[in-house]
Amino acid sequence: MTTSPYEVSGFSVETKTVALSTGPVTYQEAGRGTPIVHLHGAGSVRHSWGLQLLAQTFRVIMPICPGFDDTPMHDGVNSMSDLGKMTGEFIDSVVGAPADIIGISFGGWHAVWVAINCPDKVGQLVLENPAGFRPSHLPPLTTDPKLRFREMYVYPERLPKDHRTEEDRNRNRAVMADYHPGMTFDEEAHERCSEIKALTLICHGTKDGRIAPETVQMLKARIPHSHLVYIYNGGHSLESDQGERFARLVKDFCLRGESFIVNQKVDDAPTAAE
Amino acid sequence: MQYDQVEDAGNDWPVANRLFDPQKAIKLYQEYIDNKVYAEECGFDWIACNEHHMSPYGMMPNPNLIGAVVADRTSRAGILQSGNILPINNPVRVAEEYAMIDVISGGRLVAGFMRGIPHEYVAYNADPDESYDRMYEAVDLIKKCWSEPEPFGWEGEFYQFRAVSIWPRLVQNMPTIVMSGGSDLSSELCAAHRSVMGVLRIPSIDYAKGKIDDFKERCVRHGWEPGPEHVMVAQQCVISNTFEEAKKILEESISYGNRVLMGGQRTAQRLVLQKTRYFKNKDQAEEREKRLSDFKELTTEERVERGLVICGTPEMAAEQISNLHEQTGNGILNIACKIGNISNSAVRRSLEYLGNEVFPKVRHLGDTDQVAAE
Repeated sequence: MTTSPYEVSGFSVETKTVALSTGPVTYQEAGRGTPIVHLHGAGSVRHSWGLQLLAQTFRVIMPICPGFDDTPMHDGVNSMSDLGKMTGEFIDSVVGAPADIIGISFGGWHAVWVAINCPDKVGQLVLENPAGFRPSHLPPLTTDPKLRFREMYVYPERLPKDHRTEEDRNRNRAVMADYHPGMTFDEEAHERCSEIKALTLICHGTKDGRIAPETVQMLKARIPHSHLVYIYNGGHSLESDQGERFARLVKDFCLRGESFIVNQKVDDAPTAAE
Repeated sequence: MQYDQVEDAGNDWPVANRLFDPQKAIKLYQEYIDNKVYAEECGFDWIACNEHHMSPYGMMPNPNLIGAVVADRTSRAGILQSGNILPINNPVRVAEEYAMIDVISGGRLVAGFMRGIPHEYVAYNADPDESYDRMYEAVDLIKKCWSEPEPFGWEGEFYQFRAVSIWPRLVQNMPTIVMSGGSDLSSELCAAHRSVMGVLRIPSIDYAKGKIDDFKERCVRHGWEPGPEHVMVAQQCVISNTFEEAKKILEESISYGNRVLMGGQRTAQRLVLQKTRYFKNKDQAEEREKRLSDFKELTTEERVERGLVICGTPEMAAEQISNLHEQTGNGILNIACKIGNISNSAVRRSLEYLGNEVFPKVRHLGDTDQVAAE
């Protein structure tokens, strides 16, 4: 059996469920170490190359948002803001302490709302090609599947295996509308980004065809303690396109906090606890 | 900017700097800088500075130092840095220094991005195999340095910067960018960035036309149509009272260049081309070698006849430039008047002739015609 160079040997996940006040949430866990909550994009949880690399250092916790992968919707969780509050409760229940959060695309938008609504549950924040903030002067995004695919992936051969069918994926994409019907620019979140206290890393692929540079530049300007880093030759799916670069950057940021801008080998660096 | 004060520099790489006399170089630098400033008076639109290392072939390991001096002493001409060799330098440093030149000159920077010639990779201990990939990444990074409204970081294959916000910022929004279009990958990069594409050391007009046509096709694939202002052809130039005199000066200076200035370079280049993938494929390396040797084998008369050099009286030079434009459609002509050990008085004479007698006759060649002095 051959293995892909974009898979980490020995990577495995456990699937669990936690009961929250609004309903049950299914989540997956991989790796050991400091917990990181990973919020998925429109395609639900994917075990990307970058995520597998992070699981070598961290306990990566991947909740599945209600409605995705045919999980039940929760009563009273009907907006991105609600989703943010629910995830605050999830962190409390599963981690029991503030956790670093990584949010990819739709998950980046979701993560912004966690940081706004539950600041005491969030350690550091990583927004990876975040959706939800497309400036109105830009043309609408294509809905053509082939074009969209090209805008998503620079290296489609690096995508992780996915058991889902195209119908499953379409159903997942449709669930997003339950949280933000027709919204491309979240005015309220944009306004309230200035309230975010968490040290924030915004990552953007230089070849991302879905999220415009203007979006990440605007978030960098709005979020008080934030860094914007471009990942060269990464598309919208940064974690699969440039898994190593993504993991190197995020690992450094999560382990070293604001001093991640100082050139130092991660393995030699003191951890936050030291 | 050659160091032409030696008669034998050997064939070793690098060329031993015991051959370099700083006292003589004081005068040389002064002459070269004065000539670049004088080029503006003569009507040149751009003044060029280029980068070469560790041999008498070039005294500008950092062309930005000379560019800054020229920027300060001129008021109209564009300052073409042609250019910093991106794969062997720190791209953020290039972005900063170019921005300084842009501010010092009041917005006259013309940004040349070069991959360099093989021996530069030995000089700076850079891997020639990585030259194209570094070049592609460095261009993207430099443009980010110039265009980002917020501090940013860069996580790349070759470059990692966690926090960049260059001071000073450019006066221009984005300067005109000039790159070589000598190979497929270089031409592709020019087209992708809508830059000026330069062809130099051409063995024939057909070769130049082929490169230009290829570049234009690539531009169309990238969604734009280049004009004459996006095509630069480089030529050596000697103008004198008679063709015979110009020919004699040109031949002697080229002979000196081949005999003295190029020895060490050839050695380093041979090693690079034999042992690495500086060129992506063997055909490309062979094509380059053939191009250079074909050019070398031509007589001066043949070079003039074929439109490969500018040589002769002012009238002849005007005609040669017109013919070149007619055949290649170039909007920019990069003219090198200092060749080999050509004397300073001969360089000044060529510049004067160009300004007084040649440019008035060729400026009408297209609205966008520009001339750059090297």
